[in-house]
Amino acid sequence: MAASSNSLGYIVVEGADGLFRGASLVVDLRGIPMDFRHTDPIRPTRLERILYGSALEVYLREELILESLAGAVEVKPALWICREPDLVAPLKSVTKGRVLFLAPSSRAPMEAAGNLENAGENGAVYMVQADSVSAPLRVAFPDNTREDEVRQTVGLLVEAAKTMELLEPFGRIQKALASLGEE
Amino acid sequence: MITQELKDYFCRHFLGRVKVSRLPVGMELPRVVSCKREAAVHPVRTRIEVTGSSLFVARDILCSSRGFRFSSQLARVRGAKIAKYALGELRTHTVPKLRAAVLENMRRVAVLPQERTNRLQWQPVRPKKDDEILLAWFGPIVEDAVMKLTLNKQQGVLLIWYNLQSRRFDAKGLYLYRRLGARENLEWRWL
Repeated sequence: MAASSNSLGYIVVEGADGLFRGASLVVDLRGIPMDFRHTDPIRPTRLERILYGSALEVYLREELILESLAGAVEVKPALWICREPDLVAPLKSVTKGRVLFLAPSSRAPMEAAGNLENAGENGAVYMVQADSVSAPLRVAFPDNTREDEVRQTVGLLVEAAKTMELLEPFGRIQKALASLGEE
Repeated sequence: MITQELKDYFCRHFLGRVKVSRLPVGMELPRVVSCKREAAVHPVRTRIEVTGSSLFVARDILCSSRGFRFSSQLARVRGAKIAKYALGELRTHTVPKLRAAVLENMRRVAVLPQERTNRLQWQPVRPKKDDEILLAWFGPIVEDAVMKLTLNKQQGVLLIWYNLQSRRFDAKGLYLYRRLGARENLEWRWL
């Protein structure tokens, strides 16, 4: 697996109406795709739902799909980004790399790009001003992430935000999955 | 006996009474006994019950051991003769482990454009002349890597197709103006 220090990996795991699937998109700092993988849709049978019980969804999302996607990616990104907060910990344990949860916010912009503020929630959750032309982003790191690691990662986000919109690749993943679903 | 005769004699002579005995003339009705017989019917057949149960993997289990076998000449199930029994041992079916097949599909995502929304509200730098109105700001966009730009007017979203082979990284912003005056038109400007 080739490692790229100038790339971001976006990962999405969906589960609706008994159908589970996931996709990962690795992009360079301009948002240009470098690697795209997706899983076949998984629809557990009635028997599997009985056998796995309440652990089914966790197993599918956190182990099966996440692990398979992260393991299959050929270009290892410098940072993995997910949009479901409960995927941060499993993604960290699977990839062993830098991981965060990223979401938009409606907060007023902070003074300058690179500013970060503790969001006052449990765990390592921050408001991060990635660029000067948008609202701060809500960023959650895995528990026990060191402060210097947080600052280093925020630095990478600021660097990427100069040439791309940080949340935009999620939309492309969604569109790609929708088009695959239509086939 | 003598005493009774003496009693009758003295009664007749001294009391003028004659003993009158009553003799019933009717006969007792004869007892009629019916010789009709009632027959109690008791079935001697063994009752056969057929109980069905569906197994979730029924098609993969053949329930036919010796204990299940009985002659088709003897048994009928709901009127239908049982003609055939599946032979074989009890077969178990293992449930396959859940798997996620991962597919590579770069072609699918390479054709998708990147999207930029109008972020003029956040843009502090607003260069404009007197005869124009600033409508939108889209960015960041790497101008030299752009292959095609299209504005989705309905959603106010700029669609960007990049040249995937480009090595340029210098990002700019793209302003959209409306020119006022006789020849009112839209104008794009990189900054």
